[in-house]
Amino acid sequence: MIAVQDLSFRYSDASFRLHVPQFELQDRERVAIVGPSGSGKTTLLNLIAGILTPQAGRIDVAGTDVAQLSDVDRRRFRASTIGFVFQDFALLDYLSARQNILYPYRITPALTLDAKARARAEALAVSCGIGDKLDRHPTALSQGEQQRVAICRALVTQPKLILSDEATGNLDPDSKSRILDLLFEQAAEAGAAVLAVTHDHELLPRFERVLDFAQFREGAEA
Amino acid sequence: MNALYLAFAYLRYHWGRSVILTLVAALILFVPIATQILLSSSERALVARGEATPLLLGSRGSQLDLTMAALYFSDERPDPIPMREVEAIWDSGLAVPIPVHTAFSSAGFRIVGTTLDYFAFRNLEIADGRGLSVLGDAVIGSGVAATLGKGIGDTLVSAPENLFDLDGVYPLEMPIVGVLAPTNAPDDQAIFVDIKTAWVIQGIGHGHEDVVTAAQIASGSDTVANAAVVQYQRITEVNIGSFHFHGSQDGFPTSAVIVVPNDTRSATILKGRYLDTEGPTQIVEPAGVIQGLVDRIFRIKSLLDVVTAIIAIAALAAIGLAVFLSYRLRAREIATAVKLGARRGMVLRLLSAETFTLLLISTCIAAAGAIIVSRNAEAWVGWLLALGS
Repeated sequence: MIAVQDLSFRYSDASFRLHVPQFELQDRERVAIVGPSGSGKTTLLNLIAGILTPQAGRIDVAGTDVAQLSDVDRRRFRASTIGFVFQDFALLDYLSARQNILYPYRITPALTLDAKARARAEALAVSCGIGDKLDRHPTALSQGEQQRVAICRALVTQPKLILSDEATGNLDPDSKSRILDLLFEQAAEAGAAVLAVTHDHELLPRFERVLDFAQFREGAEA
Repeated sequence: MNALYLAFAYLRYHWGRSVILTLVAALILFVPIATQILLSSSERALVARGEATPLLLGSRGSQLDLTMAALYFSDERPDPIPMREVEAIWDSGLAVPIPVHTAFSSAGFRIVGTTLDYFAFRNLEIADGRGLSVLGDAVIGSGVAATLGKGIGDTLVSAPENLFDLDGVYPLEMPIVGVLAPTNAPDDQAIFVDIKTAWVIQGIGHGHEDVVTAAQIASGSDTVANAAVVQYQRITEVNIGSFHFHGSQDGFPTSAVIVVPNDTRSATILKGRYLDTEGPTQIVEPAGVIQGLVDRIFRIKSLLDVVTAIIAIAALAAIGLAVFLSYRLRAREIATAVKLGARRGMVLRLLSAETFTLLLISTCIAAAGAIIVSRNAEAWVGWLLALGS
């Protein structure tokens, strides 16, 4: 699914440098990335997603060299191939849970909002246990429910890859396990690989592989 | 469509903020338009009334006061002129004089004592009832009828001018015999009576019980008139015969005289007769007087326009700041959209859709307000011009 070769990146206004000689993620694989704050974990996710572009190296995602795509194509590729789950859920307070799940369809022409997409959103919500809360706004949902909505949003576009940036960081211990199980279940059903940044070492045994990121970082703190 | 959907969802969810921004923007758009409509209508109404009144005869003094009193029935009270001035114009054969007596009021509305010529001159039509025919009759404007809720069969009582002036003006009860059709002019806000009725209110004419009865005359007893004689405050079929005037009508007062010359030549001759600045009377052309007033109002309006523009700029800056701060607050949403693959320009498209939606609703509200003002401008201007009368 992901093949990274000789990747180099640095922010223009900082001494932080990231160098990843090699990293691979297989289809349907579940890999956790751990490492100290500022070691570049989120930066790697952004590079894989095409939000940032590397100074050198190759990032191959689902057979596409992301770094070589134009900005427009990177956006389209990201919308159609990658699902994002964030630590702060990043839900929009003015949209209902249903419309939050369908939000990716509203912001890019790469996706078409049709009856199938709506049915998929409904089915995902039911399987995540929030089928009866689809008309509620995020402020009327618990944190666990909000993260379920965020997972549904990440999966509704049927991505091949889920990038999870501390998705369980804001949840209580019970919810952490449930949400992670749910994420893995749904990803497995959709046939998606999961690359998850986490600080929570208790959850690491649930992953198939753990990547310690400290080894990739060069230079001072970002 | 997606941008509009999201924009509408955002505005609906934050409805309080949206309503305030919409109303402020609508007001910024509406106020200058409404002001312009009302001022234009005022100008038209003022000038039209002035142009419809060829000449005005009155006592020498402020031409504006004379015009405002005779045309708009305002509070101004020019010194009265004697009715012999009316007769002089009749005798000249150059014009039709229409006396206008505007010294009194009833229930806050001006009582206009005049002749039947006034109704023909102003093309006033009776919507209900009949015209003036008997001493004491009153015909009211449509605005008076609507405001007071009075109609045919009701009565009006003239307001006493001085409560402590025992020799002064007594209240007279006047039956309403007709209601005029609306004209959107000061006539809607006036109570019309025959000028003789106005003189009765003024105390020049009156009716009272006989000082000497037939029985007393028959018995040959001496009779002395005294203050116990009952003076009528209502003119009825029974007592109308007792009403009479003391003195010559030539000396009775009128506030002004509308002069309708036969032709331009007659108007020129008449104007020439009143050129003497030492004379007690003057003849004015209301159109010129009103145009002077309008010019003055529009000089003030240009100042008002500047003030409005400054306020509009300040309000727009405040709206811009509110929108900008709102966008700053949405930085996280924008970052999320970018991460999820939002197309280039999506954020700008979204924010533009919100601004467009707000401005569209504001424009609709302002336009609706402007249409309402435009449709009612004549009536409202007529009412505004009659204020203070």
